[in-house]
Amino acid sequence: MLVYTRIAGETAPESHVLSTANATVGDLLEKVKNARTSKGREVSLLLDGAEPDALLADLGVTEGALLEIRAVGSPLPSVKPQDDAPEIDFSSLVVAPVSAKKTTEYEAVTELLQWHSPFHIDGGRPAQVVWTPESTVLQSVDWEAYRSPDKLYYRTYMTRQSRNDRSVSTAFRYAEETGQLSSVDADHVEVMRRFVGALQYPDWGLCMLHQHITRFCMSSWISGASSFMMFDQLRHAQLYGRLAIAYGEIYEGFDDPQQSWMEDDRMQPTRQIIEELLVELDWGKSFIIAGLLVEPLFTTASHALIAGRRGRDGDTLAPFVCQSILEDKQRHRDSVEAFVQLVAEDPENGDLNRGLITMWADEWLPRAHAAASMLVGDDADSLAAVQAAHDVVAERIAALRTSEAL
Amino acid sequence: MKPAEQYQRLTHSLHWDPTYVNGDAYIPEEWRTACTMTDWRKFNDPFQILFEDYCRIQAEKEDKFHAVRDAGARFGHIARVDERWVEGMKSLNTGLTYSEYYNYRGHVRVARFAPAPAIRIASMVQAMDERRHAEETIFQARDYAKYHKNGFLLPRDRMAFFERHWYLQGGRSFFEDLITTDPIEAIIGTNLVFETAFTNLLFIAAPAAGVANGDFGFGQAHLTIQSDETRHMALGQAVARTLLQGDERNLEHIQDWVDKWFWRCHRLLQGVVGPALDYFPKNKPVSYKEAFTRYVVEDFIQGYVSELSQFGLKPPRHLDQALAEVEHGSSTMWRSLYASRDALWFDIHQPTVDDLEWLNEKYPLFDRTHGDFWRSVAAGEYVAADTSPMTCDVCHFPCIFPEPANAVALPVDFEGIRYWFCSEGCKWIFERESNKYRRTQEPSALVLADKDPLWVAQFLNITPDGKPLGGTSVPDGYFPAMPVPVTI
Repeated sequence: MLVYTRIAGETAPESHVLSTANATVGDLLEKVKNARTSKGREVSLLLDGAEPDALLADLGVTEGALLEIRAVGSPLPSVKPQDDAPEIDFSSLVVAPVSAKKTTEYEAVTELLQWHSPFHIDGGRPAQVVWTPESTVLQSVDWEAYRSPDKLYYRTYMTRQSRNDRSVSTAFRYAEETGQLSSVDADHVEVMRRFVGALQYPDWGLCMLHQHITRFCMSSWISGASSFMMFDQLRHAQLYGRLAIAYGEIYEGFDDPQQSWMEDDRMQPTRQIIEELLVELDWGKSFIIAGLLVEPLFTTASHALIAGRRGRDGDTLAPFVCQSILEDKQRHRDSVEAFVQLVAEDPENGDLNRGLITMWADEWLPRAHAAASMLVGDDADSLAAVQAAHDVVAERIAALRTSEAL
Repeated sequence: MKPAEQYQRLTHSLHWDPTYVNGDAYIPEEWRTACTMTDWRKFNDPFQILFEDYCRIQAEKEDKFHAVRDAGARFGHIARVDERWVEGMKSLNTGLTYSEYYNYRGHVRVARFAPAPAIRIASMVQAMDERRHAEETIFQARDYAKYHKNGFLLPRDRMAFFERHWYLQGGRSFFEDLITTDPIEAIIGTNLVFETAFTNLLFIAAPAAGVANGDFGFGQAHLTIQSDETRHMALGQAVARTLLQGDERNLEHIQDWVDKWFWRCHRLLQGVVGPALDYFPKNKPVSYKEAFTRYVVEDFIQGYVSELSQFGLKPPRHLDQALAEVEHGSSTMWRSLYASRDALWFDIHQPTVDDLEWLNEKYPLFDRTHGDFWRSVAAGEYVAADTSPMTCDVCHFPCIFPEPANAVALPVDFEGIRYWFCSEGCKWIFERESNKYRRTQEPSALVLADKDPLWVAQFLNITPDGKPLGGTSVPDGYFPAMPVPVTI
């Protein structure tokens, strides 16, 4: 039984745990008197009928009650620091060994930032969950074991991307100053008019998806990787948008890229996939489907479409921009692969996780392949590039199936 | 193309209304804001920043921060930071690390579920800022630990303490609350109330105290953090103004959230920043009360809130109680820390003669309320808590305010359990959303009651004289469901 007391006008409430529900006034007063705040004085309970033998329950005192205490006599404050120090065998305390391995900056600013339940807030509603292992069907004995191969953290990420964008901006300025985009093939202008602005949207969709993943994933290592993917995807959306704006400075028809995204037949399978992914609230599933199954095919198709001729159409700007985007995407694929390895090789849940991933692949990889093929149209080189990207992913899935069979 | 138009094309216009899934699936009602606006797309964020510009500006800020760190190490400034201030940093730094980290994880949620494209973009950028701030506090912790080898928390201890130590539960409960709110409440709570009203205490007043005590790294870090906060404040102010102007039904929500987060911020900052301004610094440039008056009362209440009164917004509901508490709050907190100093990982000193003179000057009621306590200590009384305090079920600070002899303790019975609150403010917060704050753990007195001292020491990850044990060790019989990562 937990009861709070305070010496009226003198101390803040303090707690006393009584070992029995049949505790008496005397039991409580003994604890109060032994507490340092009573300063050795006689104490009594400011409660009618509070005789020493009276049961607290009979006086209406219930669990969690706050009772007022009267202390009389001259205070005899303690001057001995050790008069009630607990006996502890220090030799039996478990002290974690200090690792001899020097912590890198990436490790130092990424590790051990996500704490564990029980949480102070638990309102029983999904929106009031801090985070929970149930937020993904994937399971891991140790989400803290994830490491992103790029080992990026804020400082290195910002340095890297500010340099990358400086290079890309130089390319945009060069194209503008040389008037390069004025002389590209008319067919290429038509492709760009139809698609380049619309390509902003899939990456923005992936960006929103990674907002959710960053919020709910189960360790600070995973959220770190996810958040830089998220921010890169904003970069990519804005780079496709800047290409559209650059063309729009010279040619008509670049002002409303959303129309193509919403209505063009060749964009619709991709849009459907992105929208269906956005409503998926399982962060682990989203991370795998988007990063392992969808993005590689979508990016390959997009770049084949707008930069596949590598400048032979007179546009060297788009291939430069696409290469910069691709370098980010390659990092992302490495990060996703590290995640796949974490869950697929989990000592207790590996079979479950591999089964889930291959099941998702059965559904989503054919769709992603079809969407990417639809996006590139009937250009043989582009279709071959998409097929090659598909085969890389399919090979990885096959390897997961093999280990599943083992 | 004009920059403003280009910004629109590259940010706000990224939004589309899905057609392959329905809107309820896209933003489920559970996650949707209660606020209304005729056309959320018309909202414009005041700081319009593209990815490229953000990275360039932030990379420069990082360079400046690390240049000061490097200089501090090279020329020995860090080692010369006053030891009393370093003791303060042992707690404040840990709290700040997780506070910033929480906001990072919280604001990506706002980005995903906020109704306005402009809020989504700005919140995502803000999330990245918050991640930066968390990283900077960790870099500072590494510097302190390297040059002041006297118990600074390293990561594995840091998390164990944040999960369990009573002094950090106020921050933990605050931010758990903040990242599980309506997305616009998160903006009002974070950007408007916390950042506009209160972070100047943390990121301007506290750095001034740090610099006055030789901590140039802390000063530099928090001034660059504050430059990010300025962007966040502008977003919060724009959201509040736009919603109040746009639909009178929003007033009820915004007033409610301002009232709630004002009290929560007051309680947290008083408990954590109060000692950092009034007690830890040997050289004290500003008192907590002076900083509170300037930044919270004059700038926020008399400035910003007053200006929004044209739309019906009123000063926070519990402002008078906060003003009364500020007279005592930091001193009450210091006394509580002093009494539990054997279970802390940082030193709590007995105020010096100079400290007492300064406190009496800044706080006219100090001697009448706290003078006898410190005179008894000076006369040789050994003050050390040997019982657990009553803890508020909302803010998770002990029920000791405004001052121990007249501590407020208010009960509410909810579903057969008696809950206690340290103030009218916390009681009001509980009553308006009781399910969210229902007790998820036994009061610490019950947790610790039947455990032997060894178990308690290991649970708290601390030796009885306050030294961290290292590692995360969970004794059998408590938090059985708590996952303990095997890599720790």
